[in-house]
Amino acid sequence: MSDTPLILVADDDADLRALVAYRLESAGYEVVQAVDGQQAVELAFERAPDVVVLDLMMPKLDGYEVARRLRADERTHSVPVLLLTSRSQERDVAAGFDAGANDYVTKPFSPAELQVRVRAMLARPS
Amino acid sequence: MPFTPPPIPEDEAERLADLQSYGILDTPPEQVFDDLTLIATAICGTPMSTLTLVDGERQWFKSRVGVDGEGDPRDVSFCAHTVGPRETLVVEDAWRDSRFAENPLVLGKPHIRFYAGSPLVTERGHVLGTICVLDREPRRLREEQVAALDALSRQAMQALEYRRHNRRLLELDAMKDEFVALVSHELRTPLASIRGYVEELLEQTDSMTETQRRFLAVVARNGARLNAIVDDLLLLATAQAGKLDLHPEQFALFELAQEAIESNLHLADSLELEAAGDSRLVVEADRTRIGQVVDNLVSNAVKFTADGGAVRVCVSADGEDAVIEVADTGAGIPAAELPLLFSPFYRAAGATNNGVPGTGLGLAISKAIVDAHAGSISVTSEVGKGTTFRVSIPR
Repeated sequence: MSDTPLILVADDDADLRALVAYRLESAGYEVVQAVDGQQAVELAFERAPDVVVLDLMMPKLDGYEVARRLRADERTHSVPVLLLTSRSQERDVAAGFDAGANDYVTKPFSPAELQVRVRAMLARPS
Repeated sequence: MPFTPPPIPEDEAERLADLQSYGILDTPPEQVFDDLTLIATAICGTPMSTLTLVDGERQWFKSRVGVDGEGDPRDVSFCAHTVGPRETLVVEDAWRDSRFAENPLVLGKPHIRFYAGSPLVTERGHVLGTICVLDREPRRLREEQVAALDALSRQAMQALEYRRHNRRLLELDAMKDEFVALVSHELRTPLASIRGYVEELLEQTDSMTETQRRFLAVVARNGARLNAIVDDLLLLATAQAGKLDLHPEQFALFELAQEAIESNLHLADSLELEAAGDSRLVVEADRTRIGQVVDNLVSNAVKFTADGGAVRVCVSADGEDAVIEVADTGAGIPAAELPLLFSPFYRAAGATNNGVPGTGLGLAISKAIVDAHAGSISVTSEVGKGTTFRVSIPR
C-alpha cells in the first residue's frame, strides 16, 4: 500500500475524463478511470478509492444511482463523492446530496477549483 | 337478416387515426360532456342520452345519462350508422325499422324504441361518434329539437377540439423542457473540456510564442462567451416556463442600486454614476435575481452612454409597488425599436453598429425575472437625450 491517494474519475466523456485525470495526476494523485456508471461501481468496490469524482449523466447507471450503491456497500459507504453536474438547478443538486454526494462542481468547471475540492475532501476525517 | 350492422366507411383508417388524436377514449368523465348529455335529455324529453365515440370494434360512452355500461360492440351500435352518411339519424320506432327491429339493444337492455343521434364531425370531415338521445317508447322530435341536438353536437365537437389543443400545448411544453435539459447537458460537457484544457494551457504560456498566447486568449474569451450564452438561454427558458426558483427575502432596494453601480464602475471611468432616492424602501423579493436585473440595466446604460454622460439609479415607492429606475444620458433608442427591446436575441441597431458586446438576452431575462415577481418593466427614450428603464415590483 502506497500513501498516494487514489482517485476514481467516472465520466463518459473521454476528453473531460482525461482532463480531470491529467490535473489530479499532475497534483500527485493516483487516478483510475471509469467510462460509465457500471464500471465506476465495480472499480470503486475493487480499488476502494479515497475520493470518487462522479459525472451525473452517464450511460448504464447515472451518478445518482452510483452514489446510492457506493453508500449502500460497506467497502465504499464512507468514500467522499464529488459530483460533476451540467445542471445548476437546485433540485438536481439537492437530489445529488440525497443520493449521498458530499460536494459538487457545475460544468464547465475550473480544473484548479476541482483539484482544491478534492484536496479538501482528502483532508476531511471520514 | 335480423338487423343491419353499421357499414364501415371507406376512410375508416383515417377516421380512427383522427379519433386517436383526440386522446379521449377510456378517459374519466368530464363535466363539460356530462352537461351536454344532461341538456340533450332536457331538450328532447328523453330518459337517456349518451355522448358516444365509435372506435374500431366498439362504441364507448364519454358521457351517459340513464344508460348502464361503458359501451357496446360496434355491430349493434345505432350511433355507428351516422359514421358513413355524416347526417343526423332519427329512428322514431325501432320496432318498425328493419335495420334495428331485431337489434340486441332493442330486444334486450336498454330496450331502445326511439333513437336520435347527431354526428360529431371533425375539421377533417370524419365522424367520431354522436351525441344521441334514446327512449323506451316511440317518439317524434320537433324540428327545433333536432336543430338543438345538432347544436349540442357542434358544442361537443368544440369541447373536443379545445381539449385536444390543450393536450398539444402540454406536450409541447414538456418537449421544450426536455430540449432545455438536453441542451444543458450536451453543450456544457464540451464547454467544460474547452474551458478546462484552455486553463491548463494558460499555465504553460512560458513555452509559447506571443502569437500563440494571443490566439489562446481569443479561444478562452470566446469559450467564456459561449458559456455565458448557454447560461443565459437556460435561465431565460427556466424563467419563461415559470420554473425559476425564487428565494424572497426582505432588503432595501437601494442596496441593489449601489451594488450595480459599484460593479460597473470599472467600465465607466469617464461617466458620472449615481444612486438616488429612498434608501430605506424595503421590498420582499429574490435579492439575487432582482440584483441581476438592476445590474443588467446599469451595465446596458453604461455601454450606451458616451464619455462625459451620466447614469442615475433612482429608488422610489409608488403605492403598493417599489420602483427602481435606471436613467442614462446616452444615445437614446428610436421609438420603433422600443417594443422589440425585450424580445430574446434582439440587439439594438446602435449595439450592432458600434460593436457593443452582449448576447441580446439580458433584457428578455430581466423581463422574465420581473414577471416572475408579478412586476413590470418598461422603457422610455428620446434619441439624443437618453433612455430610462423602469422596474416596478410589489413590495
